[in-house]
Amino acid sequence: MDDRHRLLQHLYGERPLSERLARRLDADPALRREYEAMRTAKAALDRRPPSTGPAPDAVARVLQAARPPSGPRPGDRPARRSRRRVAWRPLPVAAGLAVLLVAVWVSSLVPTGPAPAPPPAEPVAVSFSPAQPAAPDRPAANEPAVPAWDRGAEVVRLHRRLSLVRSRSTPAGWAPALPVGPSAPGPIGPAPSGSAPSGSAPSGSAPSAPPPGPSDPSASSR
Amino acid sequence: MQPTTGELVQAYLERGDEAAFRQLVLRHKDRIFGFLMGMVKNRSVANDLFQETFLRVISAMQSADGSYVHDGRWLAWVMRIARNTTVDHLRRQKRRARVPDDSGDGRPFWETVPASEPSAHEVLHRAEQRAVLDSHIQRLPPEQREVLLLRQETDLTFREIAELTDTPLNTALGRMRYALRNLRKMIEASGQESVVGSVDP
Repeated sequence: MDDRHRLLQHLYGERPLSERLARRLDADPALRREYEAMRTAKAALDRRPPSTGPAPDAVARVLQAARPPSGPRPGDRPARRSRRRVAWRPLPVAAGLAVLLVAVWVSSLVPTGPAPAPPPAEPVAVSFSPAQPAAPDRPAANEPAVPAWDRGAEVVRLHRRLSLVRSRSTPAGWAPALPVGPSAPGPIGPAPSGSAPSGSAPSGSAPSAPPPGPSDPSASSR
Repeated sequence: MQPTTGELVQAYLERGDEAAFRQLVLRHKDRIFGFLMGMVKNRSVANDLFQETFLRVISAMQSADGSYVHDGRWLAWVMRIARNTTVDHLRRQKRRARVPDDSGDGRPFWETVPASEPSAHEVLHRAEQRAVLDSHIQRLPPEQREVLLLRQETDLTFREIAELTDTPLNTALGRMRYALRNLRKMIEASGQESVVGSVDP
């Protein structure tokens, strides 16, 4: 290695000055001048005031990025959201406990005997005739009353509607079925003119033919 | 007793100790920033490069196949990353500028760009000294300036600088010797030898 390089390392404290190098430094004026020039320049650099460091926000961003990958990174998601998650985490547990307490309290108020069965709803005559108005949405007289602890208008309305539907779906309340088919006792259509006002044909006789209409040519020729 | 750099690095690597990493940053930030500032001469750019350097550092330290090998030379490793980041930036800037590298008077283009430091007439005496020296340093050839800044600002040894710059030790020493000699000449030529001050014999 060049002695000038050794002197440079000595100048920066990386190498002690050997006796041989010290003797050469004394004996060689050119080497001495170069050493002095390097020392002067280094002294100027050492006296140079230190530069101000990086901006605080740059350092803060670096420190924020240094969080381990397993941990939460505020830069990846809104900080407020993560805070809210932590703050509201016990809410479901508290809500569950509150519901449980209310349920226990209500059960302690209700009598322990068997509840009376609601009386059967009376059948309601249903008519599909358009002449009759539709049955109003009123409860039957003996329908179970709305519990006293819940008399909200919507609940009462739903309760009545439910009772009505229940009563309509009872077979006892249906209208008698109409006869259908040949075994019917009489004609279904309108009675012929000139017949008895009772409208009932003699039993066993064939049904009378319909009267000839004006457009029948055989009838006009007779 | 303060923990060593190696202990802090180990604490961050093994336990993810953020406080240890914070100490590392606070302990070495001025050195690293001083090098970056000396290379780019722009505070805003130096701040960006400082962040980019540490983002690379953190990424390498957190990943299992990162480039960091825990051999007790963390600062040298960080300075290599800082140097590569700076070189990348200067190359990008050079491509963007689309101007010839030589400005015509023999100086490279980047040495003709005026420093963003405040004028020596507007600052106090110490700041003036620094501005004068900085302007001289900026006029050094890039490879000499790089070695000088690495040695002066970050206190790496010449051997570490040689490894960092992938050059033989003698090359690093030679660049530093020429840097000091040129700096001395520039100080003499500018007539501002007061910046040198008194030198102990």
